Amino acid sequence: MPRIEVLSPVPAAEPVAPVALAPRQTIPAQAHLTLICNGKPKAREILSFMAQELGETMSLGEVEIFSKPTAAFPITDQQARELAQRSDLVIAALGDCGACSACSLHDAIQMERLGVPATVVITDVFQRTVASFSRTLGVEGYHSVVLPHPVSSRSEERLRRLARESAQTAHDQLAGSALMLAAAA
Amino acid sequence: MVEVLEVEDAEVQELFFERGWTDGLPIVPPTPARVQAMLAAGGVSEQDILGSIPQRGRSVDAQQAAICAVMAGARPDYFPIVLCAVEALLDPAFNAHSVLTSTGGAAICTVVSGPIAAEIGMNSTHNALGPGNRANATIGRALRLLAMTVLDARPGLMDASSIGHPGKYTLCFAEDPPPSPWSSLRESLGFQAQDTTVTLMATEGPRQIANHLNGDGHDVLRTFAAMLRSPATFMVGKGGQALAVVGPEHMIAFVEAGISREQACEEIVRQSRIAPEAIVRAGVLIEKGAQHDMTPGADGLLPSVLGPEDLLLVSAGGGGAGWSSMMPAFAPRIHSRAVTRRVRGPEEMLPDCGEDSCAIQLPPLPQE
Repeated sequence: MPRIEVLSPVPAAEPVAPVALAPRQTIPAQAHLTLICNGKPKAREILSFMAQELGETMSLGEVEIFSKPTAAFPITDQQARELAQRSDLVIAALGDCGACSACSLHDAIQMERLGVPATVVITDVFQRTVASFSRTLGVEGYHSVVLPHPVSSRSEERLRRLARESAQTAHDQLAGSALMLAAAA
Repeated sequence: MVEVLEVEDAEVQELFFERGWTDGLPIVPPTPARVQAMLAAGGVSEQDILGSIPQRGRSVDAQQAAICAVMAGARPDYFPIVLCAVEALLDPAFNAHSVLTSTGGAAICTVVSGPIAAEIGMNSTHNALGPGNRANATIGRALRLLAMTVLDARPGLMDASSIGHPGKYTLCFAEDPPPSPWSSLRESLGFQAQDTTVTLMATEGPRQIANHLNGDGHDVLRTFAAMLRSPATFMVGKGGQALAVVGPEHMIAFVEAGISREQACEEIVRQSRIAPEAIVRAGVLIEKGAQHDMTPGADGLLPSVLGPEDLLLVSAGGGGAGWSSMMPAFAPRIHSRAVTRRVRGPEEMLPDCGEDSCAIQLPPLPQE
């Protein structure tokens, strides 16, 4: 049987340099929590409700909402550096579509690289997409707060309930008491 | 570094299918000789970088583009067009990272305007958007294969398309030179008549426009606007771009009515503005406090296409009944913009981007 040589279209697998997460130290009193809002419908609401819930279990000072002009781009490197200078904790949201979940994940990982504990809020149907991007961004298995899809069409009451139900998960991911990455390290 | 695989000839197709390296159709095996011929026709070297997507940790070199062009079934003389299209794809304004990931499932709509289109046998007339022409089919297919393999846009993973559409296999055609006094697409975008350009827009599937009985150009403009002004289209009410294929009869109607390209774009954009109430009547909610500003303008209406410069009218199609086609962008303009690049011939060097890291002067090592 004749054999031929063919070239692979896929780049040869090069190990992605792993990105170290921000250390999970004791959350300072009056911590500055930054919510990176990508402008998707109900993103601001779910972030605000989650911040309110976190305020019950953490000592939070200023809660800042940083709004991106579009969900389709991550924050810039400069924006990330500026946010890192004043933020103790970051939550990026809302990843309820393909591009926006990839970009919000990117935002969270950028903050981790700059030493700020972070997490990203996504909906359940995008877990596989986010897992793929986590791998390429050097944080395989990065954590996320997963909400049932859809979120954007939910009532305020429902959003408050989702925030209440997911607050402990967000707390653990920011504080480091339930890191999934220890096994991946 | 590219991986070279030695495979039994009879097993190549199954290997590529198993590894997810196809669009679901068989490919032309990218042997070293075929890839070299492609590179030679483009006048580029294997490691010439065409662009990158930092968010994916991927850069694309000429060899990868050549591999995908071979796989797609392209001839080497198509490769300068493919190279140009890949560069446009990787332009940050196009935002391939989001275009290829979005649930919206965009096609990489590719329009070639200029003399090279005819030289390589592209189709700009009958069935311009349909099958049957090798250049049209394979140039567009090369881009999608590159997206799926090199850029890892795989369905359900880093391509989160919900529905998708057949234009994602390939959606590439050539402009048919419009009748005078209309200028070509490339000239309207500031290029020279002797240039050949490639325009990429991330679009939904084509919607066929029918107006067979009315030869009044002003009325035909209304038909184009009516097709655009659909409340069920994502970008409508938020402001995006669109690409319309103007069939021969509708082109004649515009020209005979004395409607210029600029006037046509202005009128279609104006007439496709939509009342918020029309959107709500269709069961679609108006976004408030979200990324899309849906505040009505002074006329109480919302844009479908943001401005005249955001509507690209391309003359194409075969003679016959009054058909045209409208392809709205998959998302509002804040997410992705159409990009047009001039095709470089194989004799032209890649642009010099100026000083780069190779010019860094390292400080001398300290003396022991």
